[in-house]
Amino acid sequence: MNSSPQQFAQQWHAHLQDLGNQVQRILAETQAGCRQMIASQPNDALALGNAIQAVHIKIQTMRSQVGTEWGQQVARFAMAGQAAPMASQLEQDTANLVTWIEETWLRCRSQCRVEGIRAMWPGVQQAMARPVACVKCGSPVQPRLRHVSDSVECPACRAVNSTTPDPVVGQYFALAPDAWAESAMLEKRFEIDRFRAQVDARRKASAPALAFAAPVQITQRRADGSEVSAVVQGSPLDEEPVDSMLRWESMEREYWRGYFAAKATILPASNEEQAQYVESRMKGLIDLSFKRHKGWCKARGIEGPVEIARTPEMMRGGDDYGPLRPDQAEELYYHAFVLDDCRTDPPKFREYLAKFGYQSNEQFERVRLTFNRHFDVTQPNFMQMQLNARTRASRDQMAAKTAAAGDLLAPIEGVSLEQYAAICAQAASYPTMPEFQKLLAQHGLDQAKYDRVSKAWTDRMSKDTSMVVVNEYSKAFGNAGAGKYGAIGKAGVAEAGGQAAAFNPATVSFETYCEIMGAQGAWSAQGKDVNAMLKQVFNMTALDYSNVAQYWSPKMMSDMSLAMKMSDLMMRAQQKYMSM
Amino acid sequence: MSADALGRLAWLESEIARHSATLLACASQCPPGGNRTWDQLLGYYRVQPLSPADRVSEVVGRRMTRGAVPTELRLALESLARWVQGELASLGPQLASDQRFGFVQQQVTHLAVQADQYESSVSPDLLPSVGSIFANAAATAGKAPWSAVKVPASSVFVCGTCGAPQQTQLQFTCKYCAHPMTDRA
Repeated sequence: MNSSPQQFAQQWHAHLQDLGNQVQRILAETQAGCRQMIASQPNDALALGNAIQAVHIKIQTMRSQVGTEWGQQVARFAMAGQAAPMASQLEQDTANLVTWIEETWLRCRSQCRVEGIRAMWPGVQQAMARPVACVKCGSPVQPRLRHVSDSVECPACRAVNSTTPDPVVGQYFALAPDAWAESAMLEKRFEIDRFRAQVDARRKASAPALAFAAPVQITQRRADGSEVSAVVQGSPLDEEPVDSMLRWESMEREYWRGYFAAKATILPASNEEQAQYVESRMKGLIDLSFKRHKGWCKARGIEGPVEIARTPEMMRGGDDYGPLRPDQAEELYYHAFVLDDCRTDPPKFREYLAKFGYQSNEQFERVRLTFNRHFDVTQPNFMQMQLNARTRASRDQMAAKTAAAGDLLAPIEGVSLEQYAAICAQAASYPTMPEFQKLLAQHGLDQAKYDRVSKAWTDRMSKDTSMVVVNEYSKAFGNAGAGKYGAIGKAGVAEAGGQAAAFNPATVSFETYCEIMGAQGAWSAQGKDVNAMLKQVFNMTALDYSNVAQYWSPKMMSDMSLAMKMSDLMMRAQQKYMSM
Repeated sequence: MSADALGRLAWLESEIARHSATLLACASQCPPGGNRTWDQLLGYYRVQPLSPADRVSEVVGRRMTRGAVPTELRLALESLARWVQGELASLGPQLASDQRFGFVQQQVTHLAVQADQYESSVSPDLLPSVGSIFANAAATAGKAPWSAVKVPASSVFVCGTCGAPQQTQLQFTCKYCAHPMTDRA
């Protein structure tokens, strides 16, 4: 857009109009594509899912491009020393288009998914009604349940038959409950999102142009070159009204109640189970957003968040290193990460404060200010030091949560999480049915019990907002050493736990790991089946990739030089595979 | 900490913003592959332009409909970054305790991100068409490694020693030969 400011608004509107038309065209093509695919492969929900996911990526890319382009236009005017004409109106129009794109696409996606699962239903019914014969004598056997595995004794020869649902039945019951629930509650989700957008817009409009949550030191240079320095009092944004927070909480709860009730119409769940799911979804949101709000905490009768205790007087005061020596900057960052992470849990905050040796929240803040004042942030290893502190804080926090997990890690029907993860790791190499049955038997399981245990562990993982179960599962999965890259997975688990592990990184280099990640991004955007392509291009299974990631992912999170290389390597690989 | 050094740092910060905005605006506003203004700008940053054949190849390869080629923009931003790093190196000893120094360093790192953003903004056509998405999904469906695994509707676990079928659910000692059923004969 190369125009005078007067023409700009008109051109930008035309651009938005054009983008809206493009999106409508894409949605029309997507609906047609889905219908055709459903008609030709009604029982293959995976191919349909891959296609829908690729369109989703395409739409999200277009959405973010509008924002980038708008930013570029504003910067162009700023460079010329002008404000963009009608800036606030055009920004609002752009935001409206982005909301329209999002909602229209999500409606389209949901409709396509529901059409897909509806089309599967006749095949599912047929498969579930198909008679099953005893493998030994051919007499009919009657599984009690047809949508999950069952163990049935043959009435004629007494052989125990393990019955397994047809793949179409398995796919249907894995996908349909969530697809249906999402569709049933979509408008409610939009209502919540619009409500939040309005609240954010109102707060943004009433906020000062420049505000600080805590006091800061501001230095200004005068025209004659002299400097004026002052401490500016913190002026945090006004809290959102408590009624608004309570309304949001109630809307979210209503959404999740409706979601799990809709889900239960396909896969029955008791009221108690549904309530547990609702609470697990609400807990994440409450910890992340609501517990940071003082008014909400007061209304709910719980202690509010611990605030940053910085005051202007403190900033002008003397040095205080508290329990630390001046050369312990990394330790200070470690303390800061741990303490800042638990400000919404005041008892835990006080516990850590005492453990680290601070007399009070105020003293910790004085120590932080002292380090800020004296620490040389230009040191080449400054970022690495912060990363080390972050990694250590995360590891210790997870260890503390695991130690306090209690029943969360208790065995299910006698099967421990380690045992379950080891079986999953072995199963990911795609054994034949007799091989898998033997593996299960070695652990005292048959297919029906394994499926029950698997569902129960998966449920626990999805309800556990502390992520302890997922973390322990992931360690046990890597530790199983299954598959051709099993040794790498084991080395990754050992190193993440702070133990030395012998592994030659040349086996699968960091560059290859990044290339695989970039390639996966490209395949997803192209609608290709990632597992099929992984096998075809890198001769790897999902298990192999998981083992490689188990080694490189934590390394990258803790090594600044690798983290900086990753995005470049991934992006190049993504472009390479996108053009194939 | 000298006032001169701080003043120079503030100037450097505004220069990064000014130069990067000029480069990005000029690159994004020229026709596919660049124009005379873009070539002049590259000269200013002492960047050797790509050969015409390479430019055409990049424009065609990325299916660009506008803008200078991302490789050249990246080189120009790298030249800017090198200059700023040189200036920062000379200011480093004087500004050891000033956090603004770290902020300016971050801005230099951010130049690479700006190059990436530019790259995706001028070559959006790398995204496949809806038609090819459905064609890819259909073509790769059923080729995942697990597709070859056959799951029978019913199966019976047999003793590895004598071949007798399992007679009691979750009982893995053979009723006939009394061996663990998982043993191999």
